[in-house]
Amino acid sequence: MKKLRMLLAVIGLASWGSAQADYALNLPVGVTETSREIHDLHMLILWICVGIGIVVYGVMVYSIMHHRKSKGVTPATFHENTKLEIVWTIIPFLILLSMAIPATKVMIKTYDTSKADMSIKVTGYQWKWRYTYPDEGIDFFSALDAKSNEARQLGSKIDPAKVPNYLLSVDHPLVVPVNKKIRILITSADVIHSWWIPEFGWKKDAIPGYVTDGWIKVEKPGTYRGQCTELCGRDHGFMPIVVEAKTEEQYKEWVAAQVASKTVAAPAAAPAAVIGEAAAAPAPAVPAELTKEDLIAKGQEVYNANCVACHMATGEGLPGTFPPIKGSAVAAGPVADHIGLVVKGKGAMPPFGETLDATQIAAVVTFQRNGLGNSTGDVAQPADVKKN
Amino acid sequence: MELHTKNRVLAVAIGLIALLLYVGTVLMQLLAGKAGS
Amino acid sequence: MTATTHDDHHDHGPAKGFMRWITTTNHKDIGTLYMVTALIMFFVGGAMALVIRAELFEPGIQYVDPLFFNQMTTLHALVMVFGAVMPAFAGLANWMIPMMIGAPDMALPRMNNWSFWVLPFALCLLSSTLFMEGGAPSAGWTLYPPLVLQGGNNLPFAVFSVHLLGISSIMAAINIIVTVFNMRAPGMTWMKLPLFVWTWVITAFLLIAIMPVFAGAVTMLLTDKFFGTSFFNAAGGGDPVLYQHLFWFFGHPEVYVLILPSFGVISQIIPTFARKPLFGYSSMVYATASIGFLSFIVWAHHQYTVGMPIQGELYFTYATMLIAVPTGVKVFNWLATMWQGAMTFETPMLYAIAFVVLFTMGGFTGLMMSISPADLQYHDTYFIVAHFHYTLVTGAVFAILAAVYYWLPKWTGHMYDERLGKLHFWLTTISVNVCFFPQHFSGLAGMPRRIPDYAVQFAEFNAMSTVGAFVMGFAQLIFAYLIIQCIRGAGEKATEEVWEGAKEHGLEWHLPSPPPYHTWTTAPDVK
Repeated sequence: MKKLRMLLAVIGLASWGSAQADYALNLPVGVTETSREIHDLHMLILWICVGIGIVVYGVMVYSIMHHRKSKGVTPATFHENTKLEIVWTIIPFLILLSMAIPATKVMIKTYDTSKADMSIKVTGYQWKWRYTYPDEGIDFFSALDAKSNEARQLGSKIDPAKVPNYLLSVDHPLVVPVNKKIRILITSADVIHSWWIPEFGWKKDAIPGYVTDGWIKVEKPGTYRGQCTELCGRDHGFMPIVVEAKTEEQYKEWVAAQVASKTVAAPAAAPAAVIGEAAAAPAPAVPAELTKEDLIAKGQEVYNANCVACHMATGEGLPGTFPPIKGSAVAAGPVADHIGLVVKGKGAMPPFGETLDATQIAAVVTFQRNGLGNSTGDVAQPADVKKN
Repeated sequence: MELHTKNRVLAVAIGLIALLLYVGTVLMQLLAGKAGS
Repeated sequence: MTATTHDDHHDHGPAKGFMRWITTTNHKDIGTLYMVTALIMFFVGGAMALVIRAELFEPGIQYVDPLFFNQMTTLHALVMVFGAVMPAFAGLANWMIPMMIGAPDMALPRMNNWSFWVLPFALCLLSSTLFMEGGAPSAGWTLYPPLVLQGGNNLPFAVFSVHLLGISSIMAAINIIVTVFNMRAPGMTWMKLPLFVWTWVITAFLLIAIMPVFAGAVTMLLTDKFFGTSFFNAAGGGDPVLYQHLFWFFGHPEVYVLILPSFGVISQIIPTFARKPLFGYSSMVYATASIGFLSFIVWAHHQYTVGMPIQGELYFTYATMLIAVPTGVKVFNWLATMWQGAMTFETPMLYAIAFVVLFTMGGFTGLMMSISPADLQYHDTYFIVAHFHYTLVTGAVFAILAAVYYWLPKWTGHMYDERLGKLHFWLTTISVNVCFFPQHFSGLAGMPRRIPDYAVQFAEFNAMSTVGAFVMGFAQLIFAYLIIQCIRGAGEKATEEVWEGAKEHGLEWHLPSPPPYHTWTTAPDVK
């Protein structure tokens, strides 16, 4: 009895609470047909379970109240009833059938990626996403927005509530047109990730060496936010997804602007990848010779965008967890080994050969060897960076 | 058969099944060519 | 009818000192060793949970590096599953099965000793990874590649630890099967066995089938990392998803390994405190066997988002939904046992009733998750975390707590403090719901799992959850205190029967409390 009352109280409180605060209690209805149908399916199952719960818990509460020794009752001795066993096997089975049929219909629709109007390729990286529009030749990375990234550092003392869309904003969102069926092809360059926008209604894993897919047809213009949903390492919680759904005209303008600038967004310079291929490393940049000053300046940018989270701004790392670069054997040793480490990664450090081009790697290595408390005087040129 | 013999025979038989499952799990994938080069 | 007789010359009683515990082949001693290990590991795993919940109390990163956070989530699960829950049930099996079937000990007492002693060694191996360069495994307890292969030194240690844990479980399972097959007292037929014994026999078969597969899967992780194989590497012709299939072929029956003995415990306790026989004994046996069988053919419901062909998704949806049927049958039979009984509500019964209510809630969310299209939204969110904590904490852990309260007077010969027991119950039950119920909402609202920080709209539910977790954690100290007091003999002496009418519900209540070191050296007469 007490347990049921408590349960009802929690549910009641939460329901009342939901009217007061801006937190959500339930799946979103969302902005695609899939999300709507899944929401409705979810509600159907939920209400069936609530109904069964009321019956089962009701019987229990009654029994606890009336069939107690303190009421002076004599216990009955019955201990079996085959007919009853059959009834309470068949009825649940029929209830399951009533759920399985709509579930099947929704699943078939959700899986049908045929007759799409366009395709977009999504590639998961540690720890950012890469979006490729094969037909338009657009290709860029999308990483956690700098303000969120700064606020989330251990001991940052920045109040997350003051950061707009904390942990749910990126530097370069995915842009899609509304009311077009878009086939999303998903893969990974390193470990398994998962691409999820709750308001689109589904998530799909990003598996290295394989391509999975899904489809969306966004019915309302707007900004939709999601997160990586498969543990992918240290910064799994810090690689969100932001999709801007624009009207047809706005989308065309955006595409035109991307194609015109042809500057692919940082951190890598990479041409569009072909659909169906396993995610490939970005094409090597032209190995121009750069001055030491240019390399160090660019290297500082690369360091801040890619290395600071673990190795810290001081280059001192985190004792016991992330080794220091300042005064390290790697930074003092052969340049080729230092480059090799950045390219191939080690342990929890991702292989940056996958996401940075030769110029960026040469720059960051030069910066690390001449900054962060080091002064080897060494210079690494893009031509020195071998990526196999 | 004496009880302790019966116990040991049954124990060894089940243990062999467990061993078979362990080896089989890996072997199955090797035979399917999943070990790669 | 009591156990030891005066002219049993082999019975010198236990060895003295700490060598007793190292060399014992006695099922009661080994049961105690398992239970003490489980209690310690419960606190270790619990401490890790509190690190997790402390970091999640507010948005932002306040206390730990995200990599260390991932180590905590990974180890918390491994320690709780392999260090707390499984050893606790193995301990209960060791203590109770011989007494319940009229056998003098387990079938293979020396192997029994090794089944236990491998365990602390394996757990030390696992914990030692915390102090290595690169830290403990941080890829989740599921150890998915390729991520887990980035782990460095912790991988071989985690793999060896898993091998040893598997060996411990396999040996224990063999012992249980052989004991129940070969050593039941005359007249103790299969369909007279207590449900606790039945559920453990079925669990033992599950363990034999799955632990070797898990061992094989992690061996392949090792060879992929160190010996040039590519089982799980696409570039070499392999597939990361293959690991998932192998893991979950182990992993799904594994959760039934955790819950079937729980069902057995509840089936012992409710009849005793309702003063009525268990309703539908044979249905309960068949339902347990059905659940055991079905558990092998549903594994890919953990992989609905992996890109399986739709036929696979639909098959696994239907098969998974089916498990609700025998599980529902069990719940109805427990209710029918309570119905028109004459119930009293001592602590074991409180926990058993809470189990039925709250595990059923976990069952409802499980049914929701079985529906693959809906799971495309739930998967890898806090909705899943809420589900498995309801089934594992208010399910398996509550059953273990119930069992300890139920049988502690038998083991120690003294009653525990009933008022403290009830306090422990209410604090735990309320706080566990405060901790996990809000997680349903955060999951549905979009919060992924295995993240150390979150967007501000999830703040309220996370704060609530953390408060519940801390109250729950500290409430367990009452339990530890109560056990120690009981062992030291602080309470009143326990009778043979302990609970009114219990003699009708199991042979163990026909033995003295505490039972002699050797029991049933002469087989009992079972009618």
